Amino acid sequence: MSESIVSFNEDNTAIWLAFKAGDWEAYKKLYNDHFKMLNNYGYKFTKDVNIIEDAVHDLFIKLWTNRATLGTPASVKNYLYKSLRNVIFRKMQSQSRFVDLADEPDYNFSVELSFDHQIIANEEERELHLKLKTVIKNLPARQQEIIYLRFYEGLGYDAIADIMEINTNSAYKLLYKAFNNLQAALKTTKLVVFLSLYSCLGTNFHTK
Amino acid sequence: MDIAKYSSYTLQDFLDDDDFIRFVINPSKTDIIFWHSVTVTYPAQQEAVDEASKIILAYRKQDVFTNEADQQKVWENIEATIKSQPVAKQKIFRLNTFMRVAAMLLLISSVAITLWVLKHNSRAEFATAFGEVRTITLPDNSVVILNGNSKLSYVNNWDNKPREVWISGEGFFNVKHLNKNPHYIKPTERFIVHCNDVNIEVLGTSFNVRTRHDKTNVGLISGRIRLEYLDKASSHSQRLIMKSGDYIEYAQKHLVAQKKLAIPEKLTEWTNHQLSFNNATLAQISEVMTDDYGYHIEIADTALANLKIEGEISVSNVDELLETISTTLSVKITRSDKNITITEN
Repeated sequence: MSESIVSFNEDNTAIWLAFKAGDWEAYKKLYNDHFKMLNNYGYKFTKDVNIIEDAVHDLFIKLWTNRATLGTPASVKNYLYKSLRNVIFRKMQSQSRFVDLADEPDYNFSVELSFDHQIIANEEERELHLKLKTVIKNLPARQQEIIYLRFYEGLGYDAIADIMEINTNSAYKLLYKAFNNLQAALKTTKLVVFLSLYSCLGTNFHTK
Repeated sequence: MDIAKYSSYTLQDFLDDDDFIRFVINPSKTDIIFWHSVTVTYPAQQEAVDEASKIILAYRKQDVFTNEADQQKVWENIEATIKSQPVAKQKIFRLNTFMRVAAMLLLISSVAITLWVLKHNSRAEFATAFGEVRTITLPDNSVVILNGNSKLSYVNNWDNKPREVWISGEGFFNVKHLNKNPHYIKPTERFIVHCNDVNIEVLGTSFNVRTRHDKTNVGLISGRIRLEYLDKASSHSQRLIMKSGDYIEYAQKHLVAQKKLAIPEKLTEWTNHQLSFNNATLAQISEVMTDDYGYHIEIADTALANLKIEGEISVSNVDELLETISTTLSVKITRSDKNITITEN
């Protein structure tokens, strides 16, 4: 099972095992190693920092309380993402008076593509970036989330399916849908980008 | 990595390729060399590769919310919460008041029931080893002598109900007579012996029961008993009154023999460690040696097994028995420890 297709030297198994055995320092390290990325992920679901902090708090309390009975996940990070996601959903549901009991939790997921980034060097790139920003914003939450897990976290389908609690097949379908939307919306940009790019090089190239 | 498949990749295929995504996000040296060779081999794909990487890279330029300012504060809250719950385990299973009371009642009542059941239904069990003869005194002072390899059990509490025992193997019963008025028999005055498919109901007598391999035989030395047995032919239980000296054999769910013994006391000779037989075949003798004393006996063929020793044998141990057999029947007996082989001489 490929947890992550991108290796970020994630080897937390030793720390995880120490934490499970009741090592307080290992527990603290687990927290400090993951706090920032958990907040970043949580921020995609809600801009309410209190909810995110409460969720992180509850998640770590639960970890400590149940440490003896927890398994050892293939990826600690993915396991924490999945757990945080559940805690946040529960918190947001209990916050709204009208609890939606549908199978598919109705949630928000938004990614803020940074605009005033110095690394965005040239005009075409700026163009693509702007377009992407608009396109992504208009995708349904689940499609936004899967693109995030794929392109930002660099996760494989199995890991994505596990975190989003869908089966791998659904993950394929969902990302396929997201790609279709993405591509349709990008068509014009692409044309612009490449016409300019290749006309500079003097090549007569047209895009599909 | 297979390079050929990339010749026909579309933009979307690249965006969905694990190896490609890794190359864009966090390339290793091998990745860079490999993807360079892809675009060199398939120059037409250069455009899609560039486009796909641009999309991924542009996407990855996004605002990051680390909340670093609160990292310490949240940790302190976590620490405080954990320190304030001394027994963390209890918190998981916190029940509401009603559930707590219900659980308490359930616990109390189950303990009470268990104690009651233990007091009233605890069983006394006795089992003898091969060759062992043991005398057991029952709560009413009746006496049972158990032959080797036999079991006796009863429920400890005999208040206000018939005395009941269960037996497998062989036992000689001397039941205390409690009944004062023969016209009115109280339940507590009854004594019932349960064997396989046969119940023996007694007031006060002495009798011998042998119940092994689905065969039961009962011999009455004195008194009167009522036998109740399952009869296959009539498919319900039958009753039979037995008097002193009566002897029955029951097997395969019906009565196979019923006779009057001249000297019924002979049935109980085993209680004095006597091995006694009357007109017994080699098979019958070997069965007793197997069941009561734990020998493994092999008899060469059925003709041999059916050889009968006329008259009575009464010996006090297995050695004497074997000697008697070999002299009367002229068979060859080979013995090593508890294994005995009987062959024709």
